[in-house]
Amino acid sequence: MKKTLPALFVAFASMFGGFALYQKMSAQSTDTDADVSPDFSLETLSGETFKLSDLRGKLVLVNFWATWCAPCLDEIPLLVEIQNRFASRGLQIVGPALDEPDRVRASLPRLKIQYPILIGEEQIPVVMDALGDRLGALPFSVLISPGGNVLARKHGEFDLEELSTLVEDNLPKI
Amino acid sequence: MRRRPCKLAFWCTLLLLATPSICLAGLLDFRKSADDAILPADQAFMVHAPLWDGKEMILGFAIAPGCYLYRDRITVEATRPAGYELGFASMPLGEAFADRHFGRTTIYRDSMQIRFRPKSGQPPTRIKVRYQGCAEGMVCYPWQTRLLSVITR
Repeated sequence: MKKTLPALFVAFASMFGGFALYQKMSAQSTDTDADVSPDFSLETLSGETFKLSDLRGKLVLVNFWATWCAPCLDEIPLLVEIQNRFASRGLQIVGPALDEPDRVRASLPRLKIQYPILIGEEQIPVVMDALGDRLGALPFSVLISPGGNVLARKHGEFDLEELSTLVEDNLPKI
Repeated sequence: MRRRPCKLAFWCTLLLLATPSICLAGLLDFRKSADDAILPADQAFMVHAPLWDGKEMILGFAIAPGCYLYRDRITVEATRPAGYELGFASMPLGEAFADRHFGRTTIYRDSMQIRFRPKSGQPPTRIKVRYQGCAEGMVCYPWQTRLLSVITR
């Protein structure tokens, strides 16, 4: 018994140590993996030129979507809510639409999107690819830090808690 | 005489015990696995080369589990010879699907074939296929376009 107890202690300590080491290693790799986002320009629905680098200093969520994409449409009310909640603290969502501009325009009253919508059916797949899309699927979101680094990429819908936490954790420090 | 514990053996034991924990922690780390469950478009939907059997051209799709194609978002046209008309297309009935945004629609899962019986009785040499579908509850794929040569049996 005298020999078993220390052995058990060492075994448990090693197991917990292993978990802790993994967490530390994965946290470090997240920091060092932060890659610089390429700059891009796209046209807005109103015909102006949008340039990503003009938003330097803000936390930017680029959400690629389309009117033919049901999960994209499901996600939009959440994005509208998040934009409203965090706009004053430095969040800017932009929505490049992989779609025909007329269809996008027609959908806006129903979707009540208040953040900039970008168009360009030929350029948008190129921008998606440059921002790290490897699946060619929508919705695809990329979170870009105020300094211009890619913080997160996600295919599929966010849920409210997940996106709120992600935004809160990365808002510009005042 | 009391035996002193060997330091090397102690650290080796620690490492041996910690290694499975590190691996297990990696397996249980759900944060990084969200995209892993989603297939790229060309694996979600595969189009077989169209086959001419002497009377009909058969065009087959293989659809990955959990994915579906919209019936009304599949188009096929002959690109060679120029002006060739594929004629009547026979498509399976498919599965009725209620979509919150698009209303009642029809989808295909697993696999499906479209059969064309051209009036000319001759096959085209090349066709253009366009299709669009989704991975249920996760993502949708933009319209895919494939140019395919027709195989004559």
